[in-house]
Amino acid sequence: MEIKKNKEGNVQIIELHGRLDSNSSKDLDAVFNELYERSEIEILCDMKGLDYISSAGLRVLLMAVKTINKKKGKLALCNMNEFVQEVFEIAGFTPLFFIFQDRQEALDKVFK
Amino acid sequence: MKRNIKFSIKNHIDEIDIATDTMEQFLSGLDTSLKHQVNFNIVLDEVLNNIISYAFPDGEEHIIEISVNHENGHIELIFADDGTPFDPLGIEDPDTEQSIEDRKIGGLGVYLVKNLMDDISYERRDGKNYFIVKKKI
Repeated sequence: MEIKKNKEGNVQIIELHGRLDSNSSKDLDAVFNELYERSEIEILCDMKGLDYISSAGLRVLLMAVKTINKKKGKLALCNMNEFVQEVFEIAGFTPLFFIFQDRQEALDKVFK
Repeated sequence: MKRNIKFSIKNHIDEIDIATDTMEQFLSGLDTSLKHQVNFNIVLDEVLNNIISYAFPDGEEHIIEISVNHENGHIELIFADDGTPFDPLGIEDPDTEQSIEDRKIGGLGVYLVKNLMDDISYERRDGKNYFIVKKKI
């Protein structure tokens, strides 16, 4: 998996490309930890390039939303494909996250 | 038409990619949908991650065998390992209605496998764990 980071205003955007699975989830976890150290807690995860997610990826996202809520920050997700959406539905994760169609909608509704 | 393959990986997380790549190649010869490919990749990741993480407390290198059988529009995957006895079906389903604060992650992998496949089963035979999943394609 490839993870790209960029910033739009105060919002840190994390772009995910490839598979978020047992092998790659630790890389995403490391990115979140690096952001917390810099007190970056307004985070948008853009999943446009994400092929699919397994429970190892869900685990990292759940830990992230718990941590960011505690720090009074915000985490939003956008651009999920149908396979990622299905896994979120099965796991009961959909109501736990701010989820948007695209980047602009997330920026307008969560990070204004 | 009947087709099958058998391959093995070592008990390292990095080796799961070998299994998903092999499965993708197998399925590409069957004209299946992308959805099936993705679901089998997720299942391979969940099952192999469980085996690699929990079946070998001795810390030694082990081999996990994976058989893929395609017959009559069904795919069957058989995972065999010589690790400690472990029945994934004995894991309690997670409560998927809990709030963020109460949510626990345990059991989610097996729960995904149950939901993405049509049938799953477990056997302990001749000192080995056999975990079998089936899906109509």
